[in-house]
Amino acid sequence: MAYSGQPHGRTMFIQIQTPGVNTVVLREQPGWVIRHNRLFDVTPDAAPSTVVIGGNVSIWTLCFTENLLQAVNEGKGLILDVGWYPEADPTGCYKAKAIRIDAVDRENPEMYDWENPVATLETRSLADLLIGIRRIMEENS
Amino acid sequence: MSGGGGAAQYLPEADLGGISHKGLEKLALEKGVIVEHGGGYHAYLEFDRPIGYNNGKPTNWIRAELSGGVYHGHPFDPTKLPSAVTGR
Repeated sequence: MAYSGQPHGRTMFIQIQTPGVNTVVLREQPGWVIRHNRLFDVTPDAAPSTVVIGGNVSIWTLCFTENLLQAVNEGKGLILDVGWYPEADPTGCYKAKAIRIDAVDRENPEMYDWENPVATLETRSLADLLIGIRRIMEENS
Repeated sequence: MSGGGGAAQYLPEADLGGISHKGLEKLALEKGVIVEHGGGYHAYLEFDRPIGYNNGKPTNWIRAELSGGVYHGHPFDPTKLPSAVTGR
């Protein structure tokens, strides 16, 4: 297999700045470890007016992806997955799911029990999402 | 991550010419178009054949993400590519 990427014939590096936008600081609850945090403190309502410097990349592509946050509770065998769906779609919403990790194939997310989440949350409100994340972690700590 | 959530799924490694899923992600980070933002990196790379599915459609594109020293990725919907990557 080869790659036909490098659409411009060379490797590109694009550095983007969004002044005033930071990742959300989450307090870990007992038993939970945050493995990945790309959840930013820009709300959907504020996104259109957010300044993006450095390239032709929309704030939706940068801050509203399917891969926003992942936390793990190894003791409970749970993973908390948070994303924005559909990815980069201004009409989308945050979705959070607490999923059971496969007892045997623990490192393979495709084996997790995505169809039977322990907890779910859907909202367009960042504030409600943060409250929900904390609640899910507390109830499963 | 979405790869586990069902929206995106790699082809079996046996159908990828012997390259592992992690190998694809590493290639993207080494050879792809890199977008750095907020301390993390997104790498976009197109392969010469489909490497998996995204939202039920085959795709040649991968997006790998590196943050906190950990990388992961999944087959990516080309309609979601940033303009800076496609040049359009």
